[in-house]
Amino acid sequence: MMEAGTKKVDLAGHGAAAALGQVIAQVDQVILGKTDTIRLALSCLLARGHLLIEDIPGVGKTTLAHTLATVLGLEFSRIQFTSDLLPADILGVSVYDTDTQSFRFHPGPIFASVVLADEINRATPKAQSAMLEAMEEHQVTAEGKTHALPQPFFVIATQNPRHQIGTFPLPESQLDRFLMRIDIGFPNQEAERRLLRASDRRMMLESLSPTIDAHRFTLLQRTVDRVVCSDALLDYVQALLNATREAGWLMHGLSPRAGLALVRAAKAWALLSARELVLPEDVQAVAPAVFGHRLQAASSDGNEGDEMVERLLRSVAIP
Amino acid sequence: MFFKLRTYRPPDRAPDRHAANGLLLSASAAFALHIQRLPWWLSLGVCGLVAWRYLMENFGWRHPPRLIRWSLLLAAVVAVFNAYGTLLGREAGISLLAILVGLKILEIRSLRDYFVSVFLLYFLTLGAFLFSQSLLTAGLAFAVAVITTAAVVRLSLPNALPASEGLRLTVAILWRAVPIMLVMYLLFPRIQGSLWGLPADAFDAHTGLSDTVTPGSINELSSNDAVAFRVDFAGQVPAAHQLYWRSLVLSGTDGATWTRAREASAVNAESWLYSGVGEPIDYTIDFEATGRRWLVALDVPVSVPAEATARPGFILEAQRPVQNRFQYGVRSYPAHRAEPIAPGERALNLRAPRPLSRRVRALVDGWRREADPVRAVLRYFNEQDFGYTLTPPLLRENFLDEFLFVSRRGYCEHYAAAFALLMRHLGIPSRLVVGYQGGVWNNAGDYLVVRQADAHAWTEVWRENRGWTRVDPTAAVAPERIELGMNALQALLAQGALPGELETATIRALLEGRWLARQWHHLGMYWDAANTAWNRWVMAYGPERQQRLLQSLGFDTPSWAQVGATLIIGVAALLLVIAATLLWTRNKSDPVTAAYRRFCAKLGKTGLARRAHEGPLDFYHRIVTARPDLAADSKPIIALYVTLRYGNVAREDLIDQFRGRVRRFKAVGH
Repeated sequence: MMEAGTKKVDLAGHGAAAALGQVIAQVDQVILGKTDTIRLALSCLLARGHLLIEDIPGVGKTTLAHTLATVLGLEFSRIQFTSDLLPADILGVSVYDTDTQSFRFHPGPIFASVVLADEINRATPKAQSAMLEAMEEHQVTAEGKTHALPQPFFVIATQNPRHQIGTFPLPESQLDRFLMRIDIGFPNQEAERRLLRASDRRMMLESLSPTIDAHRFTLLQRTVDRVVCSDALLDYVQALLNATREAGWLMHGLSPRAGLALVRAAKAWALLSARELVLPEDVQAVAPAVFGHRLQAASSDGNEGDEMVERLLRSVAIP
Repeated sequence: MFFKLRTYRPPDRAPDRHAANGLLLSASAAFALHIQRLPWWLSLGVCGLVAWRYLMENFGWRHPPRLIRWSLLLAAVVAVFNAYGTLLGREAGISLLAILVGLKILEIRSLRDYFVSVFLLYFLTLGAFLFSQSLLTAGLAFAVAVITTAAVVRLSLPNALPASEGLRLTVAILWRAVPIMLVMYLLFPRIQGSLWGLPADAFDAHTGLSDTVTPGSINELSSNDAVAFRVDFAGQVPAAHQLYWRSLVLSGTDGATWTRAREASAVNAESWLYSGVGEPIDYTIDFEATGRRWLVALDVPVSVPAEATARPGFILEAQRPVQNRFQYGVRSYPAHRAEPIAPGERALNLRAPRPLSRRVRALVDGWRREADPVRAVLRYFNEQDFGYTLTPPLLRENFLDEFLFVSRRGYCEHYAAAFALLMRHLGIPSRLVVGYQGGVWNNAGDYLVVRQADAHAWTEVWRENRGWTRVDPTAAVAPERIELGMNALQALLAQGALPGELETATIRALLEGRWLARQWHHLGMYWDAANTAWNRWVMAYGPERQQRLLQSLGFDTPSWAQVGATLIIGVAALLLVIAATLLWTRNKSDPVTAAYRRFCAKLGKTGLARRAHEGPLDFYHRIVTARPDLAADSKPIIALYVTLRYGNVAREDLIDQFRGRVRRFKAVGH
């Protein structure tokens, strides 16, 4: 990247660029050869969004989530979604305490900063919706009482591609709750060789130490809010949204919420690129992840989300 | 804003089903505009063609093979020729056009064909004005034009555009056409006479009074609801019993038929023009086309409009048959000074066929002894068993005898004719006057509407010292005809009431009618007022008014060439303004964007064109890869552009620096 003419990002004394660079470098050691994926995941969290990772088993979905949580110094918990999972297994239950002669609430695994919802599409819609409501409200209501979730709070959900047997695909409205959907994909030859040669990833995870903590991460999120987004850029975002609404090959256009998500994600991406202003390139970089799961092809000849976004980006001129 | 134009890229493929259906809808509307004029088999055929296309668009019917299309075309031409005996002229031309448009729509294949059809539809819509230029026609044609324009917009835009946006764009486009329309309206050379030298069949329906009266002949008019003329009074509106609109004076008679006497034209042609007495009445008349020369005026006109001449008998006559609606102003006096009657005129108005039947003679002889025979005859009509009916029995041999003693039923013509004959036999000069009586006041537009149904006949008798005096014997039989008007009388007759036997209040109550009927009546008044305004303000703009407008614009004697040139300059100027505003709103880009475009253009000449969706950094990377020699010069330009355009920075010095660097930037090819 090139910074000439733009001021070097001085992130209000927090050394954001440097800190984020370290975070990426750390995660990079565990997840080999996937820098762009890591950057997308990180910008999703910086933009205060939930992340959906969709890929086949064994490419490192869980590892990515766990590594991110560890490096960012955030409390991590994991929920394995199965078809018999109940909402109470996620949110927690009240248990009668014989000592105090009263019911006491035992928080479920959702009470953590980073919650890994593993294979979210294996659970029944009932359990899914309990999860997704918590994501939206940032609080949990159990037995009439409301319990706030920790700050920051992220859900990183993983899901197997939908054409696998025995899954409950997430409905569109719930997919919309995720700021981004990314996939990881197979590592390249070199990375895979290193992966095979090195020790077990889980052991590496244990030896990993946090680069920053929850407080500094919150400060970084606020820095994202200050990234400049000019009218010229908003013109471009609107042109993209209009294009989705006018394109005959799409089932329906994108909502203003999708546009908002795109702007937030692009800001985070700009920060990761050590810039204090958003460029069309930032929008283009995050657009597949932000728009991919929100678009539906008009015909059923199976256009993948990312391909549709690519086509969309190619068809819209930068104003 | 609602009227803002937005630019869209044209579609890159054939229109979808909905766009095609939009065109079919507009075609149906354009055909509907002509349906009352097309022969039924042609309407059916055109409907069939549109339906066929609809099935092709929506249900996958196949294109008809060439052989079928050619046979249809041949059949259509032969059928039209067969029906009209020609392929030219107004009726045949429009019929042929309609069927050809239908065939064109059937054979549409490419996007171009769609647009060709659209323009044919516009032309077909325009064709409606060859037949009628009324407000209704204009409104309907405008509606069709809106539908057709919406169809063009739909054809020109991306398929998935929401309908509301299409409609908005249609309005925005039409709105921009308004000034052009106005300039064309004002400056398009107006031709005296009929448009485009239309064939004679353009004016064939002659309505109104005829030059002769045989009792029973106005009858067909009594059911004719068409407007004969409208009157705008400058001051006080005369009372109903004064509203006698005279058109023709008939002095010659053979006892049954009354005609205009040829000899009369020699007698004192215009002397009556200076004989008005009393308060003058000034009014303007919107006269509908009749194809005849007679005009109308209240008793007694004293001014002659430019297009008319004064004729004996206080009547006005147009110089040419009235082929188009026109307007004229008249001043009338309710009374006039008596002038001595010329011997020739006296003899003419005493001429009556003889002999009389014995019982009529007895009657006449009885009246001759009365002090006031006129009053005596009127009293006779009033007191004897005479009745008013619009369907009188037919009178054959001796009109006077049969009417007075056998039928005793009739309407204005019968009474006027009988009265005039009786007067002549009594030695009092008398004549028949034909015209209209009364009219309906339109509250919405404050004017009087007189319809063909208001046609009336009355008599005038010559009295010593008073001159020609109006006597309306119908009033003695059915006073409602005069007091309430023909409409009311017809309503009464329809309800079975007998004229002359009811109290006025009872009659009014009877006529009040139901609420709905009254509202309908009010609505009709507003519609008529709108039509009148249309005629007065839009249609009346003819050659003379255009001449006056051009003179006020500075042409002393405007020639066709000058008018044409003004029109072209005016329209061109408007188009320029519209184009300029469009370009301006599109290109009101700031200096930064403009300079960046120049930079990209410079690189484009060396084969390094920026792709439309390529951001500045991506572009820079491509420059560096393809032309490392340009990297050093490009880098600060890109950096400045990024800061100025995306950094919310508007520093003049940086902008100047940026523009300077772009100006100095040289991208010479290898």
